[in-house]
Parts: sequence; structure tokens; C-alpha cells
Amino acid sequence: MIVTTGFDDFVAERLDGLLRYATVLADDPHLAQDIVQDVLLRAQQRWSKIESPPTYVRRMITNEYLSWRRRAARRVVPSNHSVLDALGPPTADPSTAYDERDEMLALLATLPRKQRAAVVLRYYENYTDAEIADFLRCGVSTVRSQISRALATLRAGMPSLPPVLTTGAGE
Amino acid sequence: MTPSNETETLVRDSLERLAEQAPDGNEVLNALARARQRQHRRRPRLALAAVAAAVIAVAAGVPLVVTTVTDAPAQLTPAAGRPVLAYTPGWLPDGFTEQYRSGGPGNTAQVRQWQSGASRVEVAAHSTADPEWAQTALRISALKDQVVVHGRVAMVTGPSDTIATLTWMPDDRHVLTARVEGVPDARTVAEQVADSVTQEPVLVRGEARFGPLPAGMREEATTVRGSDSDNATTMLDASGPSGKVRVTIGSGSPALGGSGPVQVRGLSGAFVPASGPADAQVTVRLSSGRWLTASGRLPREQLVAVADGIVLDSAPDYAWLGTR
Repeated sequence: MIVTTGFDDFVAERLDGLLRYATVLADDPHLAQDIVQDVLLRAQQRWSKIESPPTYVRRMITNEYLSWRRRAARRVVPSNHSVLDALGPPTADPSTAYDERDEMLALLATLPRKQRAAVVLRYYENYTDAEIADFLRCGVSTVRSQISRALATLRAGMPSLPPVLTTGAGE
Repeated sequence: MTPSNETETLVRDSLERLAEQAPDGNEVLNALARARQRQHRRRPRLALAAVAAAVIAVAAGVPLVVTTVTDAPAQLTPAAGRPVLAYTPGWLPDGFTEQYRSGGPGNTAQVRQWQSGASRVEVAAHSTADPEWAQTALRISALKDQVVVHGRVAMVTGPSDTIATLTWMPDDRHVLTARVEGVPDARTVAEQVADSVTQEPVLVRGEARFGPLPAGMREEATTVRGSDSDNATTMLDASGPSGKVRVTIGSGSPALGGSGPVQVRGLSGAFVPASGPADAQVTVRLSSGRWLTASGRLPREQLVAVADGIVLDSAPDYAWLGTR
């Protein structure tokens, strides 16, 4: 398979953005790197057949995240604080001070993967409901429902914030 | 702010914060480079000559797309004697004139040089099928001193402020270098030269090309050099298991100390045996007044045969020598 110049240009222009998107999606920089790497290696093999690379690659990353999450769930090794401390004792780092955003990230990490994907596409990628529906290959009403439920969960976990207004239709 | 907006704003801020933890792309770039290396080892090697042949075909009106010539053979003999150099800088420092072009079949580097006194700018193209350049992508990604050339990561190397080499890959099959010597702030100059490089081919047409070569010997390069067209020299290089041979044609008379007479191309020539590090050579003055010399660690008979086989070209292209 020929690797075209177009692929190089795409990687040069978009790799950072893809890694950021994957990190937000997967909530794990290392997993994000693995996902992006796997996706680009496969995309490289069939680059000449890909019609809309930006959409195609981002969709592959999303799908890969969903499947990786499923695989990873079966590989999870139980751990505890003593084990983690043995691997690397905690040290103070002023750049990682805990604040409201960390609290929100912790809540986002509890969302079902499809809800999280919809939230990321809406609030990180700024997609419209229709664009998210097309991207995730589902109905607009499903997208609204996913996001609405996600916001309700997040709001419930942040008691300092007033109740969220939900407008999405049920799935 | 509505409650919904407040939540949504916090979600956006949190996701942006998370995005800042994204890894840099070096590991991914390395993995892609390694995958390409594996691909190169699996498929027939493409040589720079294939690109050159494609350019020739396009110039001749043959409907051939450069990116579809991957099945072409690695060696294209018809192009060997008149190589095409695929890259041209659009910008050079003031006062520099082109004085050197060299290229050849297979993985032979394409080299162009511009000089101004003792200062020099060189733009060269190498094939990633050449083992020496096969790992360039990894070397670039491993080096900290990186810049961007045409949207691609390039590396800068150089021992001083007046010498710098910029190395980048315009595609996965070629490595380009822009080297600047004897120029203040060489790095900046090299970056400007590199940024201006485009795929504008030029031809190397000297005043001779090889004829028959000794068994196992193959053409390596054709080089034209000179400060202007009046003192142009054509050099032809070939090599094989028995050694290397170089043929030079120019206006200068070579040193003939210790020589003996020999018949070359039906004319009276001279043979100088090898001595210490000096190669053996046969030399003859052509009827045009130009001197033809074949040198190498070869027996006299083979040197004479190479010189006899040289095909002279009555219309060499030297017009570019000494120009921008």
C-alpha cells in the first residue's frame, strides 16, 4: 500500500488535535496515545480510499475508545493506595491543585461511555446535536437524551450548582 | 448565567483542562515511521531515478502520474546518463550562483550547490531506500532541535553559527537536506532556503556519458561543475566489485608525470600507473581540445576500454553554471 503525501500532511497538521481529542475522550493520555497510534497506523494502510480523513479518523478514534473501554474493563487489575504508593509515592505538585474542574472531571469519569462521547462531542468539539447524531450513527433524540442524562448526573454530583434543565427526549 | 449554562461552562473548562494533559506526538510519529520502514522492506525499492523517469515522461507528454510509478524497476538505464534533479530552492542569499549538479540512477543522491566565494549552499535529495537515510524519520523525531519545513518536522544540525544543515522529509521516500557553510547565522539561512524548496526539476546534461563498462560495473553518478560555462567539467562515476572508475572531461590538462604512451580513442594518450594513494589514469586530448581522463584502481586495459566507450554529447547544457 502506498503511503501518500496527503497522509503526512494530515498527521503534521492534526496529530496534536487528535491526541487532545482522544485524551478528553478516554480520560487517559496513555490510552489516548495508544488509540491514536492504532487508528493512524490503520488509516495509513488505506489512506487513498478514505474520502473525508478528518471525520473518518475522528470517528475511528471514537469507536476505538468505545471498544477499548470494553476491553480494558475486563483487564482491570484491582489496586489500592498502598500499591500505588509503592509504585510512586505521592508528591506535592502545585500545578495539579484540586479544584472544581477536577471534581467535574471525576464525575465525567463515571459517565457511561456513550454519554461521555456525546458530552465530549458537544462541549469539547462543539458539534451540534445533528452532527453528533451523524457522527455516532444514532438519532438526534438519542443524542439529546444522552446529553441530558449526562448533565443530570453531573449536576447531581455537584451540589454547589443549582439543578440542571433537561430538554432531551427519551431514547 | 442559567444553571444549565453554569454546568455546561464547567464541563467545557474541565474538558479543556483535561486536553492539556495530551501527550506530544513523538511516540506516534515514531510508530508511523517504523511502520513505513517495514513497508519499504516488503515492497520493491523505489529509487530517485524512478521519480526522475516520471518527470521525463511527463515532460515528453506521456500521461504518467508520479505517484503511480511504484512498480517501476529500480534501475532505469535511459535516465542514468542525464539525471533529473527534482528539487529547486526559490530563494538563495544574494551573490550565490549555481556551480554543481550531480545525480544518477538508483539511490544516488541528487545534489545541487551554489557558491559565493568560499561560502556554499547545498540542497540534496536522498532516497530512504538508501540504508544511510532509512532511519531519518526516527533521527528527526529524536532530536530536540526541531523546526517546521512545509508543515513537516525538520531537524537542525551544525557545529557553529556559520554552518548548519536542515534535514526534512517531503514525503516518505525522500530526505532533503539544506546545508549552509561559511554564512553568518547559517541556521536562519538554511531555514529560508528549505522553506523555498519546491519540486521544480532540472536536468544534468554533461558533455559525455558512459558507454560499455567492465563486467559488474554500474553507473553511479553524472556531475557537472564549474564557476561558469567556460570552465565546465563533466564527471562520470561508476563502481563495481573490481573497483571504481571516474571519467572527467574538461579544459584542464591533468598531471602526466611518470606517464607512458597509450592509444585512446584512436589518439595518442598517456597512461599513469597507480602510485600510493593515487589512482591509475589514462588521458587523451580530444580533437575538440578538451581533455578526457579515466581514473581508478583498474588495469590499464580496462581504463582504456572505458575511455574508448565514452559517448560524447555535442550539446551539453552548461548554461546554468554561474547563474542563480
